[in-house]
Amino acid sequence: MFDLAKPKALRQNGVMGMNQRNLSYVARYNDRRLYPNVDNKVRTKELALEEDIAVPHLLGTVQYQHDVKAVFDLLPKSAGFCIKPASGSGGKGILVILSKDENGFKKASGSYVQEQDIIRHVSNILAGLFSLGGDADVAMIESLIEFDPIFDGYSHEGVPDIRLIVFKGYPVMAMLRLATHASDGKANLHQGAVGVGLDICTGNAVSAVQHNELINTHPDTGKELGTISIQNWRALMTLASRCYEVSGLGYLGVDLVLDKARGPLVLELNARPGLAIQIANQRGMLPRLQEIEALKLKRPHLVDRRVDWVIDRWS
Amino acid sequence: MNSRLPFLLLIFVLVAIGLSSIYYRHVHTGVPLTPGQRIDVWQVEADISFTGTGEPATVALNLPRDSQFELMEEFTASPAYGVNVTRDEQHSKVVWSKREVQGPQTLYYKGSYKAALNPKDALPPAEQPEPPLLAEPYQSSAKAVLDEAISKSGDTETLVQQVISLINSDDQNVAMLLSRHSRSRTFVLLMQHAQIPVKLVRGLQLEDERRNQSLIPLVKVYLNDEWRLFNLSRVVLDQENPLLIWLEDQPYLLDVVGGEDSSIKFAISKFRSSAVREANHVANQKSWGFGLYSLPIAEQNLFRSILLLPIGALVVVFLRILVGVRCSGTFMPVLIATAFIQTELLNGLLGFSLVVAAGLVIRSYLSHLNLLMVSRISAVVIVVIGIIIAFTVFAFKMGLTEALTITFFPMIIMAWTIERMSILWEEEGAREVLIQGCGSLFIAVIAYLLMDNSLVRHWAFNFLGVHVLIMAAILMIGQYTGYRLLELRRFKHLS
Repeated sequence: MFDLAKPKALRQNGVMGMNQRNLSYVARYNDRRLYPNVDNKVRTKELALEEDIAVPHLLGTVQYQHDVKAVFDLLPKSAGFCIKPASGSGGKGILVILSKDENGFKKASGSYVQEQDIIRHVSNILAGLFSLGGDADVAMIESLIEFDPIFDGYSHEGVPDIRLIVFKGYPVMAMLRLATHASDGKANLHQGAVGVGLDICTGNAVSAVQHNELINTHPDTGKELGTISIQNWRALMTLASRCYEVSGLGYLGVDLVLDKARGPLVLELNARPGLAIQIANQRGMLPRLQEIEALKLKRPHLVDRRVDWVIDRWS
Repeated sequence: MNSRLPFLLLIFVLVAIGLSSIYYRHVHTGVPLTPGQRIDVWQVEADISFTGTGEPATVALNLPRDSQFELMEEFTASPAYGVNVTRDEQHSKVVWSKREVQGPQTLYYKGSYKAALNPKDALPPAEQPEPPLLAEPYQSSAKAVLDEAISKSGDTETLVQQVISLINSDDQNVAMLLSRHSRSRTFVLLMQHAQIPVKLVRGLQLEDERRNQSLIPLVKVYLNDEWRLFNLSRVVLDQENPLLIWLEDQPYLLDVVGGEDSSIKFAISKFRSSAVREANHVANQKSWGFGLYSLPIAEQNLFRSILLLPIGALVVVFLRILVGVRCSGTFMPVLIATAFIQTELLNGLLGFSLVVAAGLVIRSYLSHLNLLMVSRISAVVIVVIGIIIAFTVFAFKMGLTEALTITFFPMIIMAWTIERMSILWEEEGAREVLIQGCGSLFIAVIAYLLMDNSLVRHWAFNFLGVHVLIMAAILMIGQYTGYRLLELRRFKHLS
């Protein structure tokens, strides 16, 4: 009547629910002490750089309200940039400027903003408007990512990113998130972005969903989604896997972007990654998590062994 | 699994504590399971009069020891007498005493009795005394009556019935016995000769608005492991009203030393009282019967509303973890629900929506002012107060007095709600605001409906064990790893 799934069928397919994620994975494998490693993006970036993990270049940070005007010293003369809160979540409070001309700063959407708008955005960030607990925050200015053209035509306005779930260092599931007109250029699935499930071993598209329904083509551009295949997938797997050592978190969401020149970059890490990835992949995540939990190793696998193990087991 | 054992043990202990406390409160203290229950309370007044002879006087009145009734309170009124009430294994009596007593005297004893919750089983009869040998011709008459009754009966029960019908008949032998003894006494003698345990008791017929009553002689016969009451006197008992056994195993009702012409009369009145109040009244008199009812009324009323919060918390836990309703702020719906209790549901819903909607409009202007967060929220608090004043004054001018209750909404909570909703609007869009707003109101309405239910209120305040059970339930739900109801729809393509 209400078009509900049977709990038994879901359990058979290994679908993980929110309660189980919170209790059996996030609470069990993610030490609270380590949350600042991922909740504060400046810190994530420092940790990643120590491990030689590629991240978008940090141009500088603004920490105090009276320094707000100094933000213009940090901005590049001609290239695009991006201002984001260090403790934001879910893509909140990110301002992307593509270029600067006589009309002002050009946003990704094509509209223009002025210097005072940028100042207001920075002070909103400092006041904690976008941070998790509403605490005072730091604004980060990053250089703009030159998106790899392989996604041209797949994403409306926004940033296509790749989310991998990494469990105890093993990549478990992956999806490509494409912004749509409905999602207002944001890559959040619950706002209407398209989620394309990717085979964890090959990086080839398996299925695609929008608003919880299966689709074959991008709703705005009409491009076929089933043919998507990420080049050099093993490099992405390795990068995501290394984030386990960076963050120390057992159950981790890794967001990657593909830069034209620099290749895959780690955009941000997430200690409470959502469950929509199961819908995009049309399969449950639990069997794989449980397989990894059941692993009995004398000495933990290193990054390459982990990636090999995943490809070996699940291809 | 090993680590789950202490947890399950804790749950088990909590459930056991909760259930046994509820059981105790209901069965032993007598708190009824439903609100508004009333019980009959009988007020019996014994009115003793005698004439003093100028000597020291001691008046002893034996008090009822009826296991079917429970004494609630008792008073004595007696000018310038020393009064002493003794209750122990053998005796319960009140003794008045005075050094010098002259002329007519009146003493009062007043006791309130209610039906006992769990009447104790009567003791089996002690060793029966040898039947007294009667003088002739009474001894042969008794034997003849008994023989006739035995010949017409099959067992003890029918024998007793035969004896009763013989006493009520105009049998010659019976007439002989009745010429010497009262009907009840005759019955007792016959029973004693038949080796059937029997005793003479005196009872008071409880009936509202009765004065000048006396005790009625009755007999108790031990039949089939219980004491059965029989009435052999000519007084007709009213089966509708209960009977308080006043004298049993005691030799006398009233003993007056140092006075003459003593008499005792009983007056009875009935009133109906709240069962909860009477139960707690009795419980408070016991030394360890501490409870919320021993607090002053103002504190009691405070706890009445505080003790509803666990109910609301349970609703939130249930709807969020098991159903998956999204709401803004973890316990904001409970606070809204407590405000609904003051405002009534419809007024509350309307008022809340109006204030939040108006607040959102003004807040959207504030967000253009580029304020720091703390000052922005403070500004919203003031705006909310302003909106509430405006609505109240407007409603009053329009004659809508129902709308005045809007002031019961907690201002700070409203301001935070507006702030959260507004940020949600900017970040996630109006749809999410609608989802979470409706989710919050849905939870608030469910919580309100439960918290406003008189049965729930009665249980929450009178059975504290309920909260221990809620605690156990919340702990259990806290370890639930199954699917939420709404996830069954979210993941429908995965089954």
